[in-house]
Amino acid sequence: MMNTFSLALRNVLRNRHRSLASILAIATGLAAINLFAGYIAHVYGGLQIQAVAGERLGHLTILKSGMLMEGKLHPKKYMFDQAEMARVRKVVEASGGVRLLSPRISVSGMASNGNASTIFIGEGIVAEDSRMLREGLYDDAGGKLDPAQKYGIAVSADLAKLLHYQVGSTVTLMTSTIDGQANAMDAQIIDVFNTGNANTNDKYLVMPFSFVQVLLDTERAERFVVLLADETQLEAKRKQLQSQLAAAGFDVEIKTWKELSSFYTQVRNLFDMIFAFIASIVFVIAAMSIANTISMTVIERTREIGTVRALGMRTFGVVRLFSFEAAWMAAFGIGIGLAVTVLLAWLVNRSGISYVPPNSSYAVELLVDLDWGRIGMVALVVMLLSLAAAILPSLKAARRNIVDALAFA
Amino acid sequence: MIVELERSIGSDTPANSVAAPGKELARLTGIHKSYMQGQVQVDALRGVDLSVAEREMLAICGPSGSGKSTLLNIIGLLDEPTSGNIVMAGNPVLGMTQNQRADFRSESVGFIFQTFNLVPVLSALENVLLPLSLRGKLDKHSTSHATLLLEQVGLKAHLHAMPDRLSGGQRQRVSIARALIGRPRLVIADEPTANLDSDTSMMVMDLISSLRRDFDTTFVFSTHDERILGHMSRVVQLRDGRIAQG
Repeated sequence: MMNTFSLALRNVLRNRHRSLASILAIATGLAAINLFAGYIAHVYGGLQIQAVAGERLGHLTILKSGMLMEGKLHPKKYMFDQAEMARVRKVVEASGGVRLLSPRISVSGMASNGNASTIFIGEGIVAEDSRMLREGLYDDAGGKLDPAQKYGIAVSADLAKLLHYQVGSTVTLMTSTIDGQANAMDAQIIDVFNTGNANTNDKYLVMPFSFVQVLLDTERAERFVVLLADETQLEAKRKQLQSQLAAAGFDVEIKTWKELSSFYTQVRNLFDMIFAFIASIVFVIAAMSIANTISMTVIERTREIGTVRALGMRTFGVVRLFSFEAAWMAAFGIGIGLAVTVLLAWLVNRSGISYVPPNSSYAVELLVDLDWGRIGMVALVVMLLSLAAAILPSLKAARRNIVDALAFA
Repeated sequence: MIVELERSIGSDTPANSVAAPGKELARLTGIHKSYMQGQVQVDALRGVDLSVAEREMLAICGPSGSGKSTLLNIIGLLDEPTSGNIVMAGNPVLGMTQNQRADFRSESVGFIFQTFNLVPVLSALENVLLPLSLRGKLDKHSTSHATLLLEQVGLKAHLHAMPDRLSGGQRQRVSIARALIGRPRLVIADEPTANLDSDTSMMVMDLISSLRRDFDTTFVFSTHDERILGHMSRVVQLRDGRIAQG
C-alpha cells in the first residue's frame, strides 16, 4: 500500500522527463566532484609517501625546543648528546606503537669533483633506518645507503649531472664543524637518485649518520625521526610522547610530517580550496535544479495539492511529500553519479595518462582513488541541500488557498 | 427509488434564512463572503443563514456567480467566511487553524468534485484508500473495505486501474467511493454531474442516493442541473449571494 515515500517515488517517475534533468544534473556534478576528490586523494597519498618515506621525514620528528630557530647559531645547545640520545630512545621505545626511532643530523657545504664545486645539503641517517623507512613504500626510489660502506653516499641526480658524478666516483665534501672549524672529507658515490623535487634534485645528499658526525666533528644527533606502527595515531602519539619526554626532563617540540613538509601543506591547501570551489558550484547547481523542478511540479500539480489538502492532508504533509520527491531525485542522482564515478575512475586508472606535476622532476601517472569519505560527505550535502531546496516551493504550495488551488486550471 | 422532495418554506422563516427539516448537522448564521477580483470587491455571499440536517440530500442551486460554490466551500471548511458563524455538529469551527480544519475535514467531510480530482499516480483502489491514509487510519481491514465500496459503485473489475484508464463516469464513481470510505458525516458534492452525460449523471445520482441510505450520510450538492433535483430531499436557491428560495 502506498505511503508518502512511495507516492513521492511514483510522482518522480510520472514526471520522468523533468525529474531526469535534475537527476542528471546531480549525477554529472557529483561524478565530476567525486573524480576530482579521488584525484586529490591519490595526490595526497602520493605526497604522504613522498614526505614520510621519500623525504625520510617519518611520522614525527623530535627536536629540542628552539632547535629550528636557534639551532644553526648554537648547535651544541640544541643537539642531543650521547646520554640524552640513550634516554630519549628509552622513553620512546617504552611508549609503544613505534616501529622506528632514527637519529638524524643535517649538514651543508660544498661538494667538489676536483675541478668544480657546488653547494650541497645532506642528511645523515643510519643506513638500516633508511631501508626500514622506505620498506614496502618506496623500495625502488633510490637514495639507498649500504651499512657496509661507512663513507658511501647517495647523490641526487641533477647534482651528479652538474659535477659529472657517477656511481663509484669520489666526491670531496667541505663543511664546517659544529665548532666552526673547516673540514673536508672524501666520500664514495654508491647511488644516484631522483629526489622527485626540482628544488632539491641538484643539491641533496643522503649520507651515513656516523659519516656526518665525523664531518661535523660531533657525537651528537640533531633530532629523532619516529615511524609509527599506526599512522592514524599521529596526533595522539605526539601528545603522548610530548608529555612522556617532558616527564623525563626533556624540553622538546614534536613536529608531524605534515608540518615539516611545506610542499604537502601547500598542495593540500591549494587542492582543498579548488575542491571547495568546485563543490560549492555543484551544490548550487544541484539545489537550483531541484528547486526548479519542484517549483514547476508544484505549479503543475496545484489542483492535486488542493485535492489532497481538501481530503485532510496537513501543511507538513504537503512539504513532506515534495521533500520526499526531492530526496528521491537526489538519491537517483547520487546513485547514478556514484556509478559514473566508479566507471570513469576505472577507465582513467587504465588509460596510462601521465603528466609532470609542478615542482616535480619526473612525470607521474594520472590515477584516481575512490575517496569514500569525501564521496559520502558530498552525497550527504547534496541530499540535505535537495531537501532544503524543496521546502520553499512546497511550503508555498501548502499555504495556498485550497479553493484557489482546486480552481487552478 | 422513492425520493421525497421537501421544500421547507414556512411563513415564519425569515428571508435569506433556511432551517433544516430534521436534527441539525450544521448551522450557518449571517455568512458574508467578500473577496477582491483585481481592484473590485466581489460580495459572493451577503448574509446567508442556513441549517443542514443530518441525513438529508440538500441541493444549493442558482445561476453562475450566485455564490453556490462559495457557500459549499464554506460548509466544507475549505474556505472561511468574511463574517458570520458556523457550527458543525454542535462545535464552532471558525477560528480553527489550517491544520485543525484539515483534521476536521479528514474525520468528518467527504468531497466529490466536478472534475473528479483523482490522484493520477494512484490506482482506483489506492485513490479510495487515500483519505484513510492521510488520516493515518489504514489497517488490515481498509483494503477489503475499499474493495467492497468499489464493488458497490460497480468498479469491481477496475480496482487496480489507473485514473487515465477510466471513463468520466467511472472516475466519478471512484470519487464517490473515496468520499465515503471514512464514513464522513457530511459529503460535499460540487456539481458532480457537470462533466457527465445524461445517462451517466442519472446513474451517478441513483448511486449516491442509494449510498446515502446505506451510509446514513448527509449530502450537500451545488448544481444547476435541473435533472438531478428529483433526487434531493431539499433544494435551496441562491441568487446574488442571498437565499432566494429554500
